[in-house]
Amino acid sequence: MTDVPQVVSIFNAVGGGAAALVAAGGFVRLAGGAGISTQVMIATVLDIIIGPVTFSGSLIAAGKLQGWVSSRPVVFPGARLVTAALAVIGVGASCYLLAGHDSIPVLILVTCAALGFGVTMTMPIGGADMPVVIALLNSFTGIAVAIAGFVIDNGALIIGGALVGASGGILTLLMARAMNRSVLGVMMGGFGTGDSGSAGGLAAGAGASVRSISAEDAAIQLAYASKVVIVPGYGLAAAQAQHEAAELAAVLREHATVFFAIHPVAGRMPGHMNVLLAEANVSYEDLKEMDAANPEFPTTDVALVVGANDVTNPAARRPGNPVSGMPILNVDQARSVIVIKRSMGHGYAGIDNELYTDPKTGMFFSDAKGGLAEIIAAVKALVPS
Amino acid sequence: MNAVSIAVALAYLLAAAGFVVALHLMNSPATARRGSRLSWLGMIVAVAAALVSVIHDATITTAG
Repeated sequence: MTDVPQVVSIFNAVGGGAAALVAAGGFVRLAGGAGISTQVMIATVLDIIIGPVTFSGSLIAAGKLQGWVSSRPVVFPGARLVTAALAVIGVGASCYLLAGHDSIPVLILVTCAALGFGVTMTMPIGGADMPVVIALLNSFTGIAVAIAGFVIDNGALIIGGALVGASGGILTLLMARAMNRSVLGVMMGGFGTGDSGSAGGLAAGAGASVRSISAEDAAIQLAYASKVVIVPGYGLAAAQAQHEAAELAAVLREHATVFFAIHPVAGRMPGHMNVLLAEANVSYEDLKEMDAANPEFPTTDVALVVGANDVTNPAARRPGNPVSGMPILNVDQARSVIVIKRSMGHGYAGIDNELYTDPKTGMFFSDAKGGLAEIIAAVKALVPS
Repeated sequence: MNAVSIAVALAYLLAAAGFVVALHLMNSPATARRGSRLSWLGMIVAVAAALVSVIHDATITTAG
């Protein structure tokens, strides 16, 4: 289930590639013959640009998610220049085609420029910005398919492609708004630190005081709480701990109200946490979106944060740091906070999380899967069921 | 427009209508499964119609 974002990305690639092939096939078949009508030529040229961009961009996105390509933003000097140059070559060659020259070599040139553009466009984007990028590439796939429908005059392609393009576009804007960054800002890339468990944070216990707790301490708090909110993040997916999370929720539900608070960009894909928890058979009613969950935090006895970092950082409420302005889950308003984390390493945005140095926050240093299992065992020992 | 191409066009229309309704059903988790099912049913209809259209064209258009 951690792999769904990669699969979605590969599907996007296949869609864009198929649309490009349809356009190229139509062009090759008609080139040099009776000439291509302007309408078909415009559609073909657009497809030859959008299709390959989506194809290579989505493959790079899948690679970044899978770890084949570094999930850190890869920016080298002159990267912007290369991207701009590829765009200029692609557009220039397209104008040549549009002027009426049915030249296959030029078509290949445009295709290669577009493929290169897709690569250089996606390389600078960091791993946790992927939800926006996947939604954007999804939209591109739909648009490419719709344009392919114009190339071969097929209504079903046009309608289906338009639906995907439009819904993908709306989703992209929603995702960007949830991160409080503009889509263009995300595409420019260079933000974020990637997925490697960075040791760039404070050592456990050093610096600003962080309260470290054990599984038993956590279990005592949870066993006697009457309202518990679990905040899942990418760490839950990476540790494949969704079944443990579901089991803990079920155990706690016997004496408390329990639900999961899902931030819109938690995870690596829109809906990542929802899909992950659904696989563990967590009922949909137990998943609350950010706007529904935030008012509940002040009356929450224990907020359990598993594998989520930046989306809980109160620093976002102040201007002047990388997460400023991003809507967050108001975990710090809960009466007590438990954070399960492997180390004090930074999250994606590369900054310290002020939630961790809050006096009411207890840090349980463990990986999500083992840590949750320990807590479940400890809670069962405390609460005879 | 002969009978086959009319049937194909109608099938496309049916599939497209299915896609639109399915997308709307995806709004809520309660109906999302139905939406998913409807969308792949619509896709099967569309792909089948496309295949019929291609096979039919190959048999009745003059080659060369």
